[in-house]
Amino acid sequence: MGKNQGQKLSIRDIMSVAAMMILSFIVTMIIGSITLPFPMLYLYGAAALDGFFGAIFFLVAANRVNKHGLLFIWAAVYGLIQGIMGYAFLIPYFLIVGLLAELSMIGTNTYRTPLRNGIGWAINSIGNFVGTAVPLWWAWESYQEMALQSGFTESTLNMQYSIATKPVLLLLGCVITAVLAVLGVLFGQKLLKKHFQKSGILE
Amino acid sequence: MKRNLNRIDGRTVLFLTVAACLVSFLSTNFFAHALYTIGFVILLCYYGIMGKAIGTFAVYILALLGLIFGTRYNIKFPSPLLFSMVYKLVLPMLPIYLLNQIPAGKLTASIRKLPISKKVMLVLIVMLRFAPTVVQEFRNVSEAMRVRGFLSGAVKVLRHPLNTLEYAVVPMVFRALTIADELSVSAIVRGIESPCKKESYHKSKIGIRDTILMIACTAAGIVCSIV
Repeated sequence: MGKNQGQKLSIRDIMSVAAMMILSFIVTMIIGSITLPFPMLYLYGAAALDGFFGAIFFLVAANRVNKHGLLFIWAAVYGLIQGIMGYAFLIPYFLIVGLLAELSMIGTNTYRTPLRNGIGWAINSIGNFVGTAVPLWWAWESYQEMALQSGFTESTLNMQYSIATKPVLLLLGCVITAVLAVLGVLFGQKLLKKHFQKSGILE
Repeated sequence: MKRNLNRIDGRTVLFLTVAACLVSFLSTNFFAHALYTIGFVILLCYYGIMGKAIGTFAVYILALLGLIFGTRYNIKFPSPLLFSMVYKLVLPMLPIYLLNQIPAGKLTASIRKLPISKKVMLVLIVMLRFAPTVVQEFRNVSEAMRVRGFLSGAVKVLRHPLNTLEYAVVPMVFRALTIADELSVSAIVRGIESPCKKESYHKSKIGIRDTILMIACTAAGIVCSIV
């Protein structure tokens, strides 16, 4: 089971991870488009919904590859995409998120353990949620100017600022995200057993 | 016109894509942003992708109008955020269309010359090549679901959201993994794991045309970002 652990990623692993990441990013974009018209849902729910739906693709990649570094690559690529989109300061933030998520996966065969996958994925999803607040801590003034020019309304910005500055709201968002991420892992695990493990695609 | 595409280097198109992304998210002036987008529309027309360029520009105009009216008259629904996202995403989409027209071998040969690791290069190429395939597969899965009556109505979908998700996701993942396996086998057969220096059938050289394009794009981008 765990004989792959500790080895380098093969070409097949890279292809599988890239395929699952693309599916996950497409889902993220769809969720973003659907939740954007409702700012409250977007701010509190988008990262949580990403965590729920993305868990299925993450679990497929994790169970197929079963090698350390997967969560780090996942978060790093997400950070790079954010960086290309103009939020360059989010790159180091997502590298740290990836590192923390990866640290939670230390051990043998952890990428095939549902509990550890749940913890790692929840950390990654919480990182995504907190990522919405990082621009505010980093440079509130310039972010506000940019956001207002981009069509953010004052009320949305105030709500985002509340999330970033009020610990209770920040904690509430983290809890919602973690719960949905764990539920996503549970649902994904069910799909894995029902379809992918039975068909022999995954061990 | 599409033969002009053979004269452009893959690295130049990658550069244009990154520049378009940066300008789209750094520019705060609607007029400058629109001018930069028009520049890319003209470029795509020159390279023979006129239909997609004009169609995408029409979406851009609609999103921009929605954003301007939404913020001016404080329209809550649809939120200006939605228009903002669409309007910001259209500009990077234009060079991505161009990138998708370049033959895979030529693109690989170009990216291979970039100072990045082999693994990152592979992920980049797979992601660039895979996205349109995944979208097509998604359409096929939706069509199959519709034929079998799984998408017959919003009520049915909302009553059994997890079932609908399962019916959509499982075939998508199966197809994606199959394609990933096929791609990796094809890459291995072509010697991607070989430590030798790789050569390509396609010439990969940044010429005068590429240099002019990159300089013009950078200069225009700087102007659009600071005005």
